[in-house]
Amino acid sequence: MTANPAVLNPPANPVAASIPNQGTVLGSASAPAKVDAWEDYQCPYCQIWSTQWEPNIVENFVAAGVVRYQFHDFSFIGSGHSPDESLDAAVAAQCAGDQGKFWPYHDWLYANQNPNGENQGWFTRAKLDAIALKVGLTQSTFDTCLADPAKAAAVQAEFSAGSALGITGTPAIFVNGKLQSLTTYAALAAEIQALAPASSPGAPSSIPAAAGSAQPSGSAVP
Amino acid sequence: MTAGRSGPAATGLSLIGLAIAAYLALTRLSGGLPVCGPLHGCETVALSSYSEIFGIPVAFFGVVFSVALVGLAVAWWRTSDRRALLGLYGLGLLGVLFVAYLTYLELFVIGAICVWCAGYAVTIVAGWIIVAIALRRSGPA
Repeated sequence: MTANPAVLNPPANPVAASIPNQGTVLGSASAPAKVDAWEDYQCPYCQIWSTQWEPNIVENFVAAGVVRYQFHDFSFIGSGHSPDESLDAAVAAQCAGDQGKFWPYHDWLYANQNPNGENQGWFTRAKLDAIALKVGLTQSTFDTCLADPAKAAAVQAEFSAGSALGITGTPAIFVNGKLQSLTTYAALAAEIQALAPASSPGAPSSIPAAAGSAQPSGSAVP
Repeated sequence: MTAGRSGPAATGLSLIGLAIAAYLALTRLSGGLPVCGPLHGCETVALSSYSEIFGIPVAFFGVVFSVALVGLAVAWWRTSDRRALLGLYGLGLLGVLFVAYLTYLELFVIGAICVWCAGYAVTIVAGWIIVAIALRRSGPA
């Protein structure tokens, strides 16, 4: 990755345009399983979730009509910092949503997260504009939206709503209102599969394989 | 010079260090998805390229290092053998230099501090100071 906003990494596993979506919601509203993902664009584990776990859920469950998947902003990492990069990135993605491009913008944000840490002035206005260009937003409409204080207020209101649900960290993934521990993808998939009607056409007949190598934790110091 | 209070103190500190290193190594092995918590920093550090040396997680080195420290500290405490104290001093010095380097990486390269890592560093430095004082008091051999 690079600090040059003109050079961006394309998302490896973007949400397919064929998946029905409305704003931050993917899939059918009448799907039996509701998956709610609360995230912060600066959180490294949210990047792993969004690039490795979420694509499997979309492919195996949302596409099959089993899951209605919704993204929620829980922007807390940039809180107290200036600029608040978590908030800026969240507002930019919401503004992209106004132009029907929330998911592409979301995918590009995670593909271009700062690999070296948080709150280092990474999600600059120049970078957010460069992503807007990549996903095909109308710049003047995007400019107006970013300047609208109501957008930031809405993101902050969603943080408050998440806090009221008892969320303290991200990614916080709920399946039909139940907070998941995210120990393995197979366990999460089984939880979702259990909610699928047995006879539903298109529902996966077996649990999908684990989402590759989500290798978190450990530390730079033992 | 016997081990006195420095023996149990060095043993206790090295056991705390071992517990921290073991916890970090276990979370590494479990392969699940932890969260970015309010004390964010650990996730950044854990995901950085510096969390491994030659492909081996740094936490694993910490476990091996701490086991050696515990062994030497117990030997010094139980036998008052000065060779164990000298070993603790030498190994501890190595540990101090290593955690100093890792803390430097966290602060100036990765730009995030991990509280677990900082806790481990404190046990290493405090243990080494206790050993250095004990060594000084024991006089020339």
